[in-house]
Amino acid sequence: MKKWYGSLGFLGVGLVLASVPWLKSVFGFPTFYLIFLYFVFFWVAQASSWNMLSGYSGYFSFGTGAFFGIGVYTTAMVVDKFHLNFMIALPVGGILAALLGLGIGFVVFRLRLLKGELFALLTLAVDFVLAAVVRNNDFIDGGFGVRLGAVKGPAFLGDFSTMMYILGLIIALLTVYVSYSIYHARFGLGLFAIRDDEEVAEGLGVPTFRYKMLIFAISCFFIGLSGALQAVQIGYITVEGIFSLRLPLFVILMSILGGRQHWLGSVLGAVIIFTLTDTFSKASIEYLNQVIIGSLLIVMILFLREGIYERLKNRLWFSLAILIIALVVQIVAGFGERFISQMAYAMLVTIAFLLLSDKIYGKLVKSFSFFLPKKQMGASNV
Amino acid sequence: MSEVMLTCENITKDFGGVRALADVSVAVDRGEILGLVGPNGSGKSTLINVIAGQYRATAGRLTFLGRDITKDEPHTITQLGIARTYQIPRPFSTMTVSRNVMVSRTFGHSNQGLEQAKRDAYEALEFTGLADYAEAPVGKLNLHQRKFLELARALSTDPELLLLDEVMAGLNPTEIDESVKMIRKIQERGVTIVIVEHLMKVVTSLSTRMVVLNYGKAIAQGEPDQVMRDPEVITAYLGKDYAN
Repeated sequence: MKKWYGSLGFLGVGLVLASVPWLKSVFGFPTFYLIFLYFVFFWVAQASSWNMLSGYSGYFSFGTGAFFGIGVYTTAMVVDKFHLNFMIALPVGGILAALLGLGIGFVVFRLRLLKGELFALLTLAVDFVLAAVVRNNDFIDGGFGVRLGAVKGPAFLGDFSTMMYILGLIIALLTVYVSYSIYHARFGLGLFAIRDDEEVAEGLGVPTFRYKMLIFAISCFFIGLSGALQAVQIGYITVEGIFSLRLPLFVILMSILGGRQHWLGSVLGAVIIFTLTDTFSKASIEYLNQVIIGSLLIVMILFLREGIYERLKNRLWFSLAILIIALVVQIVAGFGERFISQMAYAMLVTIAFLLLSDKIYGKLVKSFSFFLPKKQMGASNV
Repeated sequence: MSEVMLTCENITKDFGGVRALADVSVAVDRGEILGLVGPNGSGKSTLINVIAGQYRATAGRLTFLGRDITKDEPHTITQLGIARTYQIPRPFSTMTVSRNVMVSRTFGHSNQGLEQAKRDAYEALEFTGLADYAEAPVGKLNLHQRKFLELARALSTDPELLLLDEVMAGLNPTEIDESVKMIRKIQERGVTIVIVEHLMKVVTSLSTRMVVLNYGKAIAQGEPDQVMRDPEVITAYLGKDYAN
């Protein structure tokens, strides 16, 4: 029942988002919104893939870059060396990344000692090793980088930015849907048990080895799939750019800020963090960008340890109201040049509201209660 | 004739140079409550861990309902019908009480779907007196409730053989009486029980048979009264002077 309901929701969100390029042609808003949304989709897919493994099962991975790199270089090889359509690279990149994940998982999960920080370090090492291999292998890269040139997709997907938008949307939606399904399934329950106490989980009948292998492979598949598409967006592929620590650190940041316990947490985190970084890096306060994101992380770890989602679910209507008010005020006052940056500031205001402790929030709700639907009044924690 | 459910043949377990179990042979019959006693460090918990598959025996053979389980993974053993509790409760800390039970209900010998498991979880919580806490986070439970959650979780796997590792340690007399009643009820349901316990009075009154371990060796087996009069057992607990 619940499943059917949720699937319909995904279909609805998918259809609405898929109509954006068409709306663009009707209302004629600028193309950079499509590009912006493509990047949102990319980060949503990456963060959700990370969260499936590391958020659900508790195996903290720093190796996103490695599996992403597999996807990116699969596209590079398919287009640059084999002169085939890049669409082939998407599933192949995902499958290769999943195979690498299975290989690493087989070794790591057999040796039961590799948990916690050791697992994190090992996955990071995989990233470095892979970078070295690619850099020194002349057939793949050899240290000079790979230029993809003009990449053609199927004609029905329209121009380049529309095509990227649609493909990015499909991948993100698929990733989140899988993450959502696992969350609600027996598989997910088993993974959460592994996160809390692996030995006890195994003792209660959870096939821990098989589950860890499976989730590692699924997570890597989507990282690779999304990476294979991102290669087309990047265009000029270099080892330094692909295997850098930026990607692993950002997906971790997004998932932690959003909330690792729930499938929606990493989605929220990805949308918020990307919107903020995009705004601050464009607002000619680039140097402030990392300061702001860093401070945000510190504040949230201190005051909102469970992530945004955990607070948001209890304050949904109130938060939405604040977001919309903050947005409308900016638009009316003519503050900020772009809708995206207005959105970013509205998000910051909402996060500030979410940082309020439950006690203060309770008082606030009481004084505003005549505005709100009855259900929200108790600030119940279901 | 009673049916043999579990046999441990010549089980030896070494930890580095330390021999925790030496050539232990024990058989558990269907329907009995087997008391497993012995001084601290005698290997009781190690034997429980070996039977549950958490430790692999260095030597020896385990057979459960005619199947060799010596080399099986813990989850396989649980799915075959052996469940255990931990001496120190180890609930899943980020889950609610009922979700904790749901895990064992879906993955254990019971093998239920999630929807059914959710309904069954309430039943198990009802049985252990935790129904009021079903939707509470486990952090809200005190020690005695956590011990009962351990029991509810183990029971929910639908075991044929239940290994209880000191479920009563740290409980007050009223709570101990409660647990004794509960264990009797579990036995009446047809579950075979192996109970590790330090409280001699409780274990002798509950058990239909007892095994005494000392320094990793099984030094006596038999009816509770008979075992407690065994000179070797008295020596192990009280010293040689009391043996006669």
